Amino acid sequence: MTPYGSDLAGGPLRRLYHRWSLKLFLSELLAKRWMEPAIPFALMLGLIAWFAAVTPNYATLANAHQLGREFAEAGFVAVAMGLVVISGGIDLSVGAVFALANLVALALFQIAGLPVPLVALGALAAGAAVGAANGLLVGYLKTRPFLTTLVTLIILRAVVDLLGQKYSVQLASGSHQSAAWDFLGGGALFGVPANVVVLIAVALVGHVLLSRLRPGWHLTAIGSSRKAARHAGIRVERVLFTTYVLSGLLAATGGLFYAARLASTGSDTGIGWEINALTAVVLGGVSLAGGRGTVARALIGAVIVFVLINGLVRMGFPGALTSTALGAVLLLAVGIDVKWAKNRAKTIQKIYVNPTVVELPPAPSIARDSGTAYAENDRLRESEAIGLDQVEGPEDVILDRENRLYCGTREGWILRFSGERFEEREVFARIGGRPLGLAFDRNANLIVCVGGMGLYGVRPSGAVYKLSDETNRSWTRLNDDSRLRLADDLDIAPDGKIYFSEATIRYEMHSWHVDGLEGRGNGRLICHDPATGKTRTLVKDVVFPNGVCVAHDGQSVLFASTWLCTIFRYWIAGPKLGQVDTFADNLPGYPDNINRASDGGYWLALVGIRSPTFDLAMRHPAFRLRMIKQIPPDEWIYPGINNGCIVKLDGSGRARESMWDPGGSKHSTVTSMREHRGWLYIGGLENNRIGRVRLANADPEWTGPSSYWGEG
Amino acid sequence: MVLEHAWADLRSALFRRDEIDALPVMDGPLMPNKRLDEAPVLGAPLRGCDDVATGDDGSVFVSAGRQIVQLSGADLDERRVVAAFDHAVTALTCAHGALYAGLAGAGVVKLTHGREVARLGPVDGRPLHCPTAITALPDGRIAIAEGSSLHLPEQWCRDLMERRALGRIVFADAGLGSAISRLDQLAWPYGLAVSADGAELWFSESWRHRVLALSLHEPQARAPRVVLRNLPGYPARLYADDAKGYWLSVPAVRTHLVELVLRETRYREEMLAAVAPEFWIAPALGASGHYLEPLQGGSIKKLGVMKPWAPPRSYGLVLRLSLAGECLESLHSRVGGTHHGITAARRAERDGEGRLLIVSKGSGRVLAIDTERAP
Repeated sequence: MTPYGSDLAGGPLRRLYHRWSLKLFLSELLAKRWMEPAIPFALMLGLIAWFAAVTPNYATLANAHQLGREFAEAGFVAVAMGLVVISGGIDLSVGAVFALANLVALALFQIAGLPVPLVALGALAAGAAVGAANGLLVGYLKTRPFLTTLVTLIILRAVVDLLGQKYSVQLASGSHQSAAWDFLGGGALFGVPANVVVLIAVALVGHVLLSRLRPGWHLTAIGSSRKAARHAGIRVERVLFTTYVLSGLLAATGGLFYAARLASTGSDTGIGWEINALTAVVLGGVSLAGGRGTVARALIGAVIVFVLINGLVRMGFPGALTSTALGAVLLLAVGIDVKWAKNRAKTIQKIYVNPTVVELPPAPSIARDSGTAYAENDRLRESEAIGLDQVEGPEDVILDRENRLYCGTREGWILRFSGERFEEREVFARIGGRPLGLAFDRNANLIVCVGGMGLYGVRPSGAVYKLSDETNRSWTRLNDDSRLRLADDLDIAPDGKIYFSEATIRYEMHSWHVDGLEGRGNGRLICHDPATGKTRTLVKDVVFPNGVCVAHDGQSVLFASTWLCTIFRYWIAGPKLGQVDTFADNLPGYPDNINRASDGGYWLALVGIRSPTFDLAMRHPAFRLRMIKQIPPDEWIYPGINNGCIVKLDGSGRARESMWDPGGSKHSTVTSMREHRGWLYIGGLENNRIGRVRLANADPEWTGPSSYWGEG
Repeated sequence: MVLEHAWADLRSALFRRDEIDALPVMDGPLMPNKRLDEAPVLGAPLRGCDDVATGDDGSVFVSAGRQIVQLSGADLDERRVVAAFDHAVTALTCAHGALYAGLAGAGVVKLTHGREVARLGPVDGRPLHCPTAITALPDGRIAIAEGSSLHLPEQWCRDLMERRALGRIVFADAGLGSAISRLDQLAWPYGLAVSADGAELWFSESWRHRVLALSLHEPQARAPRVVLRNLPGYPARLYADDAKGYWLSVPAVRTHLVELVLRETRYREEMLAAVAPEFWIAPALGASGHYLEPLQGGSIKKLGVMKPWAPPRSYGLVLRLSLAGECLESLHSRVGGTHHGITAARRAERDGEGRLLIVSKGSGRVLAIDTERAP
């Protein structure tokens, strides 16, 4: 038996097929953010490959050099446009800014004869100034971006034309020379054109800005919803202003390089570039509605547009035909992209759940007259109710040295009951999430596994603190699995290390049952060391690890694998250190929490009983998959959890006795129990009460805290 | 297997199969209520009660297990065993001053004053195993529905889960001397009623959840007309309501899970072979709530309560149909209720007052509802 799955009879091929699912990989792949522009990326590669095949001398280093130099200028403009579009606006003036910067740079260099750094500064300042004007209007005066930048475009165009005409003779006759100027126009760093190097640097900075830094997130947030961003406290005006300034700066950078390379004052400089940039940005997958896009996407789109225009021109297509072809490709790509963006999430949803084969041996008899330790009885029905209708879903219960009773509830609280008959109820702590497993550490802090949040602690004063919400990432998986999604139960070893289970990394607390229908090894056993603050995964790919209990001798940790109906043991000391073996298997139901008993054995909550039809369904993954797809969740078949059953195991994992509430009239979905001074306290995931039953042969003085930490 | 499902997917994409794709919701006239649970119970529980018949003189007979019991008294709570057999009585009607009773595995008998006067054995060379309903036709003949030629009436669930269509409708003369099969290959015909104008014989075809009408005048070859289709449950006995309409009892309702399992051949066959019948994914007349029964998501107890809108394993449902066959109103017992598994609902006239007698086989009780009350 391995913790990775059942190794019972059944076609090995069939099991392999269901174990290593291609669909699983695909669904995780599709879920990655960088898969969003997959279509434009493929188009880009396809176009380059096609032109390389049909155009002579296309795939040569010299050609790549030349193309790169030409492309970089367009690239700057596209990034400029991209940033503004992501912020929810549009900047139609980028082409005009580009032309203005070109003219300013040439004028400063040729006419004023300024040194190159000042020329660059001047050109960039001109771009920034136009951007600032746009930003002022759009950000602070709240004018429409489209109209505003259209007006800027028209005015700038006129200005550039006027100035160009006025100074054309002087510019054309200028003969100023500079090595730095030539480097800007035609130099290379390590064989890469200078402007391409700058573009790459800008793209990297832009990517980090958008994906990792606060200003970038603010920008994206404004693009998603300006109102929501304002409500979240983002300074919308300032961010928008900065965005337009950035846009002007970037477009001007393109113009500067253009000036240095061509020294052209033609009046068609930058004409129509705003349309090309917009085409590129949209083609790359930046949403025109704002809030969705990256620098990389803008550049992918820019490459497509550039390669297409350039390639068609080279193939001798007339200009009008080139535009038409561009339009056709754009239409096609946008069409496919719309379908892709729309259906990607649906596709993921459709292929995300991947049931596998779970084959269990015939369950031991639970019949009333069977004479087995599991024989059905009514002992749990005799329980006393605590906090009846005052508590919602006490998944785990625990008692402290002062005989106070704690439980987590579905509201995200920790409740505390005290008094002779636990009649006093108070909210001990409000953590949030879904508090599940509980344990006291040596200093009487209550350590809690919180579904959806991670591992938390509550001080005796009621103050909540975080222990850990992530573990080490496993690098063999596409999905970042470092976050704790569903920390389930924990226990604490004598050295203070906290061992806890994470039931599944593929589903959330509210969809645990889907993990059950999948039956895959999605969970893990994790160790957190409060001394160092480090968290690391000990055992991966466990099928729904649930209850965790440090053995009486402190040498091993028991953990339940719910859907396999098995309890495993992980050795934390001794000769088998680090190994996993089976502690108890072939249980008649689904094991949940495990806790120490006063006689050296363990209490085990069976959250449900194996029903024959569910067992059969677990052997038929395709059936379960079709069920999930075809019928509503309320109609799905579930493990039989409308039942109450607690089993007593001895120190070696053999079942000794059981306590039942058949059908769960008082205690259905029993997930936990604690022994305390001769009583057994019972919690349930969906229950409206905590129960307790008197234990006949238990040590009346035994308590959990003293068993773990001695008499305090 | 894969191909079969791929083919099914393709078919469902190309041709809408409403019966599978759209399980009707309980809405409009089907809006759930508690009227069955609130209905007064007649006398002590009557184990195995199944069908109800009324004589011209107002006497009421109920088939219960292997007996036919007459109910009398002001509240119909007095019981008298009219006849007892070696076989379960699975259909009952009063006609021509006699009682006709269907016996599981033993044909149909005609009784006068509690004594057997005639018996119908094999028809067209096939034994009459599984009588489910009997009614008298306007021309004096007797119509008999046989659920299946393979299974006995108590094996109805297996017949459903095996997706059989081996039922037939038989016409016999009043003396049960001769009989012919009139319609064949029906999926468990379970109720018979003559239309108000006497021109048609209406019958329920349970596993195909529909009600059909067979013309009594037109030539034999003509296929029956569909009156009601895609019912939310498996219809059973159909009785005319004094020329005003019909009462249709529905012993169990369809659920998405059962419909799915009915489509899933391999899973279903393994389940039928390996799992005890009481724990199948299948409808039942009465739910035990046993923890080994299949549990569905909506049935999980939350805070100690199971919701009445949980997917029903068993349910109580009676429909009132108009003369045209439209559903006008319904009586329900939902999940958590007790009066489930309604196998017969028949209007009885008594001292000029009509009331509806309802047999809940699931709970073993006979109920009565004042039908004159506005719905």
